[in-house]
Amino acid sequence: MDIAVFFGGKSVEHDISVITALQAVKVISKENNIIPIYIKPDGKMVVADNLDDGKIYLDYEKNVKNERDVSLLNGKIAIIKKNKIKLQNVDCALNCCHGHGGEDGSLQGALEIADIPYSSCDCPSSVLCMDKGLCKLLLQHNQIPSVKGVYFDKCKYVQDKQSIWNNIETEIGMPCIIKPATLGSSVGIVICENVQDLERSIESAFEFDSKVLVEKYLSDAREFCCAVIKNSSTLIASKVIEVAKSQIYTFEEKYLQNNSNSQKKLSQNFCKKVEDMAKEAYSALGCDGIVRVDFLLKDEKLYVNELNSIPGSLSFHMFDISFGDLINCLLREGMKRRSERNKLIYKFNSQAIEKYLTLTTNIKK
Amino acid sequence: MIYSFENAKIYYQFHNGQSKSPVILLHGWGRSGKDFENLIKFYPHICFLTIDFPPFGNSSTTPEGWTLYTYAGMLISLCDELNIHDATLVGHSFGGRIAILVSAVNCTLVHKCILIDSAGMKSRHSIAYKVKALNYKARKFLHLKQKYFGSTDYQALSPEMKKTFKSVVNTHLESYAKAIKAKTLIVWGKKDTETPLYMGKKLLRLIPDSTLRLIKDGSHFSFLDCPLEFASIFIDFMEET
Repeated sequence: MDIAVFFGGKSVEHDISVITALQAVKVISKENNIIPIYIKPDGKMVVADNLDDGKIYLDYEKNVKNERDVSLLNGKIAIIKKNKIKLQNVDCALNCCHGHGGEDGSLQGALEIADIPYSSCDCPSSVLCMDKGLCKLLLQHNQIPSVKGVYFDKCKYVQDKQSIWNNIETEIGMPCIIKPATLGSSVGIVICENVQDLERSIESAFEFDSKVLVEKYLSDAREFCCAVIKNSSTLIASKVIEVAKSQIYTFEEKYLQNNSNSQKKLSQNFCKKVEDMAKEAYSALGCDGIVRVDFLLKDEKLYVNELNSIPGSLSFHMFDISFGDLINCLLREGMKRRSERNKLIYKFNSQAIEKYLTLTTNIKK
Repeated sequence: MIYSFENAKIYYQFHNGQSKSPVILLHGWGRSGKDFENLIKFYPHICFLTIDFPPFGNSSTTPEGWTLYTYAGMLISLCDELNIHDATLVGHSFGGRIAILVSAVNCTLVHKCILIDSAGMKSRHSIAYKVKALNYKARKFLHLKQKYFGSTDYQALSPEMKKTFKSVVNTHLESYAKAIKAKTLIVWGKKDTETPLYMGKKLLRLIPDSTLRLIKDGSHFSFLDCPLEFASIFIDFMEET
C-alpha cells in the first residue's frame, strides 16, 4: 500500500507535528511504501530523500536532500522537478499535522477534492474541533456540559467594544480566560484577573486570530483527558489521565516535560463518566479517527474543555495498544469512509439544461 | 464464579451483563481469560463469558487424567447448567481445539464460531524435526539419556499434566472440522510460527461455511498483537447475519 504521511505545516505546532510524524513513520509496517510529505513553515508541500531523518529539521534548508515540489491530483500526487512531473499513486494519507492548515479542515478539503482517502476527522468536523467557539455552541446544543463563554470576531469587537466588555462582565465575570478561537497548544492564551486588563488581553489575543473566545476561568480546576477512537463504527475510549499542572499549560509544559502525566488512582465510576462524556462529545461533533477530549473538573462538576482532532503523538500512549495497530486502524477507517462516501448518489438527471436551451432559443425566435 | 466438574474447580465469569447467548471466550494453553480483556472492554454492549481451563488462570486445581474430550465435555455441561444456547465460541490455539470439537458435536449450543490461530490440525513436520524425532526414538531404544526434547510448553508441566498435554496435542480434529455446521470465521496471524498459516488454510477447506481473515502483523497471538484490527474483524463477523 502507498501511504502518504502529511506533517509540518504553517502552524505554531509545526515542531510537534514533525515529532508525531517521525514516530508514526517508524511503526508503519515496512511492506508499505511510505511517502513522507513535508509542509514547510511557509506552506509549501515537498518531498525529499531524507525526510524521515529527525536530525535534518534542526537546520532544514542546509540538510535536506533532493527536495521536490508536490501537488495533489486525482488519487495521486504529482512530484515536480525542473518542469518534469512524476505521478505517484497514493492509497491513503495519514494526517500528522497539528494546528493551522492541517488540523483545521484545509488539508482535509484538499484531499477530499483530490479523492485521496485520509485518516482522522473529515473536513467539517475538523473545523468544528478546531474552532473553540463553534465547538462550545455544538456541545451546548447537545446538552454536554462546558464552561460558559462569549465568542466574537474582530469585526464585531471593533464596532462595539463596550457592549462586549459588559457582556463578558455580566455573563462570565472575573477572572476570565481569553483564547484565540482556532489556535491549539495553549498559544496566545491569557488569564485576565480584572476588568482593567480586559482590553489589553483581548487585543493581544487578536494578534493571533481573528476570532476570540472568552471563558470563565476555573481556578484550581483539575484537568483530565480521554482519547476516543472509532473502530468499525464502534467507539473505544482510552484510559482517563489526569494532567498535573501549574496555572495553565504553557507550550513547554504540555510537550517538553515528562512528568505531566502523573497518574493518580481515579475511581471507576468517575472514569466511566469521563469516558461516556468523551464518546458523546465525539459523536456530537461527528468526529472520525482518534480525538483527544480534554476535561475540567471543578467543585465535582465535569466540563468538556476542548477536542483535539489530531492530538500530539496521536495519543497512542493513552491506549494499551501498539502504535502500529492504531495507525492501521486510522488508515482502515479512512479508506472505509471514502468507499462509503463513493456509494452516495452524486448524479441527478435533471432536464434543467435542456429546458434552459429550448427557452432561450424560443425567445430568440 | 466456580463450577465443579470431575473433581476440578473451574472458574468462569460473565462480562457486560449476563445473557443466554453470550460470546464464549476460550483461551490458549497456559494462558487465561485475561487475554481477552481488551476485546471485552471494546464492546460494552456485547455479553462475554470467560472460562479459565484448569490448571490455568483462576482454576488452579490440576485435572487428573483429562483429555481434550473432557475439556469439551466440561464446556458443554457448563453451558447446560447456565442454560446457554446459540452462543458464539471464540477459541484461540488450544481453545480453538475445544471450539472445533464442541461446534462439531453440538449444533444447538453453537450459533457462530471464531477460530484464532487455532491448533488441532496435523502439522507438516520439517526435516529437522523428523531427524530430531528419529534421534529421540533411537535414544529411547538404546536406553540413553533424554535431555533436550519436548517443547517449552511441555517442559513446564507437572508429570500429571504432561499426560494430559500429550493426549491433547495428539488428538487431530480434521474429521470434526468437516462436521461443523455453524458459520465460522478463521482469523490468522500472517507471521504465526507455532500454528503456521497452512493450518488456517486447511481449516478453511474443511469447514463448510467458513471465511479466513488474515492479520498482517500478527504472530500466534494475533488478537493481542493487533487488538484494534482483530476487534474490527470480530464485530464485522458478529453483525453479519
